[in-house]
Amino acid sequence: MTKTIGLLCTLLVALATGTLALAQDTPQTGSPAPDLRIPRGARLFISPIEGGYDIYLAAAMHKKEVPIVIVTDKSKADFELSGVTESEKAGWAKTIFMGNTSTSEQASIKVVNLKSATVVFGYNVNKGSFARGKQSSSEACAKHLKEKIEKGL
Amino acid sequence: MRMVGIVAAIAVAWMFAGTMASAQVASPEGGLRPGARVFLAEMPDGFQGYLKAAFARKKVPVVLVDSRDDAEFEIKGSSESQKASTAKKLFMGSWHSDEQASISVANLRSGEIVFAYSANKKNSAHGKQTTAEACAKHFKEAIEKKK
Repeated sequence: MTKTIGLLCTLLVALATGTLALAQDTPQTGSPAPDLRIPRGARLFISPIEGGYDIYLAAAMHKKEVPIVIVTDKSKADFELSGVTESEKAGWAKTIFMGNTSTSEQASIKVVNLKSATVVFGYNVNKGSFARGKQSSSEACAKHLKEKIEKGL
Repeated sequence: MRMVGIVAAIAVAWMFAGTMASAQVASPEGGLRPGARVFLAEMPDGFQGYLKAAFARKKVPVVLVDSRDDAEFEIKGSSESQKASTAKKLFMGSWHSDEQASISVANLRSGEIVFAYSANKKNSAHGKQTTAEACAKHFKEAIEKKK
């Protein structure tokens, strides 16, 4: 009995020492790696963007069936999407020589995790002639956001 | 005998929970349904006026209210018109404007956006009326699908 207890105590001491040694050997990495994933069903708030582009983005996410829930209250959201957009109308030269009246569109969006304040997604789009203007650029953003969510990265 | 009783009780509880869960799943998404009370927010260029007219013309089955406090849903929107340039009029023979518009419908209780739609019409014969009616038509389809 005494022998068994003694053996157990020795084992415990050895385990404790080994754990301590391992902890000291393992380099201190500081804070854990940030979580850059956007889970399916996450709640996303789209902050107001000049020209009502936030509404185009909401429509695009609805059309592309992006698997998130868009909310209108930032306090209820897990993520926030913000962005900028710019449209350039076709000039006379483009209209006459190219027969093209489509606008040039640029847009840039970023998605931030509101809990960790980490930027989890960013995307730029730039097209010389978009057939449907803001609708096209917002759908490009929505499509890539959907890919990001579905990949689970 | 006691075991049979316990198993029966668990089975009944399981069935009850399943019924409750399916009842929650079966309810319309976001509450969008015919007769819902909808408020049209102020929009640039008075687009909400075009939407009101479009809703009436397309017979969208919602009740438009004047006060946000009385509404279950709020529609926000954005609209942009691009008039035909001189070059377009001369060389393409078209004087019609290009129109873009977008609407989103939010459930005021849950704060979730339950429907959103963008319309883009080149050489629109009727300007904002065309995009407003496109939005109204698709909103009506969304409501009727969720009946």
